Amino acid sequence: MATHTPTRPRPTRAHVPAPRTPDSHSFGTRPYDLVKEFVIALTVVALLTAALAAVFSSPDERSITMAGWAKAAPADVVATATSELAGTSVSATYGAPYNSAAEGQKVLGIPLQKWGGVRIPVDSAALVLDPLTSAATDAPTKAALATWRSAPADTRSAWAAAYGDALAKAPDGNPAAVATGNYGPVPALAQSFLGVARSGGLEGQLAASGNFYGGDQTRTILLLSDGAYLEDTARAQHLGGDQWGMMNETGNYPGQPWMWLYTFWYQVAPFSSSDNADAQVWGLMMVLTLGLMFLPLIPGLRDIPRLVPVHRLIWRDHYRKHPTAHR
Amino acid sequence: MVRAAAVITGTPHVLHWGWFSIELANLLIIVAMLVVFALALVVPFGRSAPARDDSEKRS
Amino acid sequence: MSGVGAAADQETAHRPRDSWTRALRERIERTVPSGQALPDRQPEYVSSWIYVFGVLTIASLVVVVATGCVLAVGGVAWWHVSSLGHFFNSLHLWSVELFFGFMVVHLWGKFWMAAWRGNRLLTWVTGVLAFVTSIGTAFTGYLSQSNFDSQWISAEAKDGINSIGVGAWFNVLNPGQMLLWHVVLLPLAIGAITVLHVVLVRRHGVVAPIDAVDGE
Repeated sequence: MATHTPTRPRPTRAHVPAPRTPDSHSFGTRPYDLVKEFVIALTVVALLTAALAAVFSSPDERSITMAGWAKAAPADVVATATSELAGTSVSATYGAPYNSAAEGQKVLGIPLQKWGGVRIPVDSAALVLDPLTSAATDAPTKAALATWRSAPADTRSAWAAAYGDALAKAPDGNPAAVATGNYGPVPALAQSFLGVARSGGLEGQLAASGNFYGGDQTRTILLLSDGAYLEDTARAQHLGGDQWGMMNETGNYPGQPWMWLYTFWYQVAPFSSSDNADAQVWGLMMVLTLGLMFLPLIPGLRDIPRLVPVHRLIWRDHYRKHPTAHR
Repeated sequence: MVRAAAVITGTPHVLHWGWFSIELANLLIIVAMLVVFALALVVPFGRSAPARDDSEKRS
Repeated sequence: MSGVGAAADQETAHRPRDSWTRALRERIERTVPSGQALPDRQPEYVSSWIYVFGVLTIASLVVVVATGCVLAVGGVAWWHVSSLGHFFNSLHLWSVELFFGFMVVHLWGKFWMAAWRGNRLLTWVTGVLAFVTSIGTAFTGYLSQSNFDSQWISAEAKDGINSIGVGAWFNVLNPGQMLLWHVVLLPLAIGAITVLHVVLVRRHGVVAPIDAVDGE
């Protein structure tokens, strides 16, 4: 037989390679009932779940209806309607996927938000004008709508912006206490919109989009979150972004403790004051998640279990029976 | 039972330490997990003695 | 022998070598060797309560899915109007909390055991993947509650998801889409990842103690 010439030289330095993990099948065994263990685990979990559900139940805070919003915070509804008409609301200046009004957020200079494209186009002014057109059939509203539609875009913006500023200056944002000014049909439109909301005429209006079945709440939630009432309600329950809200739940219910690291970054600099916080935190969490996923390949991190010997507790029976000379 | 449900639906109990804040319910869950983990490490796993006799009988 | 026996032998000899069925069968048999799929013996070093958290996680997942199925029978709004429905919602919530609790304790245990040793990298990877996918599933679940929680969570989450361009396709403000992700797509994904994870554990066996030597 020809001798085999090794193609790879043996390592000559005094290097101790990582010990080879032995095959689990080369060890002594004992009897064990896998299926019984699963059935016991299932029974335990089912009973524990039933007990927790019976004692603590689960939260069900009613959703905010448009009518509820109008009754609880009418000034907020008027201010929000005005900002939609002025094009200054959060949704109007959002950028992709709703419009092109802003560049959107970037990670390391990469405009990911913009790259998504405007695939869910939303006209913020239409959030107010569409329901008014279909639901408000009174003559003053029709006239206000006609005036609005026949005015040039600059004039419309000027009216709405001026009225928005005036509302902000009025005590408690009360439309009745607004200083006189040139606001065009905006006050009438906003007031009429409030009336439609109060009467329940706005429920489902924005979710219909021409289809009998509707259901897509994109426009409704955008309108609601353009106001302050939704966020105020959430903050009262410690659900705000800067209140570690991502982890929390209404009432005293446990929330999502596993979101602790995701929400942590929003509480600290530089993310807490960054315009690109969402994209940056996402990027960071992606890196950390990949780090966790491929931890076994990361020198240093993968050695922690060996350096901090928690395993001596776990396998103490085995180490007691098989004391080894080397560590 | 009803009292527990009433307590849990009230305004959230939140603990603050500077910029760190946590809802009490979440803190209890995390503490419970740490306690369970510690117990799992230290509580003796008592089945091995009788099972070892069994395996010796078989061989 | 009889004509039938000879005919059967002849058929075996002529079975095509490129049989996909045979290739799949042999692949399955190789993946988890016979006797290891449902073994009735385990290594002696499996002697700690930390080892029960994997099966507790799976058991919790079963309860999560079962209670979810009952909620599906009643429909999205059932639990708002029925006390039985609300009870099943509570079961679903608490089984999810238990699921995450057990899964994370299982993760902690596996980390301190360096359970990725001995060619078990993929077991670790699929475990982390299951964790991350579960978070996504829970998230779409919160969006499907049709209450204030769903309103607020969707309003907030849209900013995160839109910021990376994904919101153009994954619209958290659309309950119809989110519900279907929650009850169809993501549970299928979790199921597949869990099966893969468990198959890998059965295939490689439970990892030996750190510094253990063959044959101890």
